[in-house]
Amino acid sequence: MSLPQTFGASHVFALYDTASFVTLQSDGISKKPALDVEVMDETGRVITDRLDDERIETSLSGVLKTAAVIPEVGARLTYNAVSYIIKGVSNDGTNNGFRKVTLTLVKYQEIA
Amino acid sequence: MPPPTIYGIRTIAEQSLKAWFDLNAGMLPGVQIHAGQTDDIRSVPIVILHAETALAHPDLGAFSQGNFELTVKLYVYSSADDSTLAQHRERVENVQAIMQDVSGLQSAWVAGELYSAWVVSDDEGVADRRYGNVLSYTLVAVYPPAP
Repeated sequence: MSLPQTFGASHVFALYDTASFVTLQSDGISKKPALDVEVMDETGRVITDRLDDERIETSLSGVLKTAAVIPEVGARLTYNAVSYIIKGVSNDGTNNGFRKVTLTLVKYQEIA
Repeated sequence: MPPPTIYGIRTIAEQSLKAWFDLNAGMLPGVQIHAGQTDDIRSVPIVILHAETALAHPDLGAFSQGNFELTVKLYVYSSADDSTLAQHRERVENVQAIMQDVSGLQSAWVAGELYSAWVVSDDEGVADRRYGNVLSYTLVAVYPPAP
C-alpha cells in the first residue's frame, strides 16, 4: 500500500497587475487574430489557415477609489506591461454597495 | 517613533453610535444608553448598541483595505412593571428615528467614514415581564486613511 501523498501543485493566483483609480477586482484577457483566412480544398476542407493582426482584448473591473479620476475613452492604459487603448468605460453603482468601474481595452498588433 | 495607531471597527461603530444617541438623548428620556458588552450596572429602560459582526466588505474581494460591512444590533428593553407596551414601542420608534438620520450618524462618526446605514429587521419579544426589541442594522464603514 502506498503512503498518503501530500504534495501540492502551485497555480497562478489572483490578478497580474493593479490600476491606480480602482481597487482592481477582476481582469479578463483575450487574444485572437483579427485576420483569419482559411483556404479550402475542392471538397471544402481547410488545408491552409493564416492568422495575423493579433488583438488583445482585455476587461478590467474594480471598485472606484474616492476622488479618483476615471480614465477617458480613447486614452491609454498600461496593464501588465501592455499599453492598451481604452475603448469603453462603464461606471455602475447600487444603493448598498461600492461603485464599480469596468474598462474595455484593446491592444492592436501594429499600434505600439 | 510613535507606536502605530490601531483601530477596531466594532469599537469605532459602538463609540460613534453612542455619541449619536447621546446627542439625541432628548428623544429617549430616562433611557440608559449602553455601548457593546459593557460591564456597567444596567437597569431598564435601556438601549444597548452592539456592533455584533464586522465582515471585510465582499465587494473588495481578498483585500478589503479597511472597508467593513457591520451588523449592528440595537437592543431596546423596557420593564412591563414600569412601562406600557405603547411606551415601549414609542421608544423603539424613536430609536429607529435616530438611526434613520444617516447624515447625522455620519457626522458623529468618530474615526474614518461611515458610508451608509440601513435597517434590516425589527424583532419584538416579551420575557420575564420585560418588553424587548432587537433592531438589526447594516452599516458600511472604512478606517481612517494612513497618516
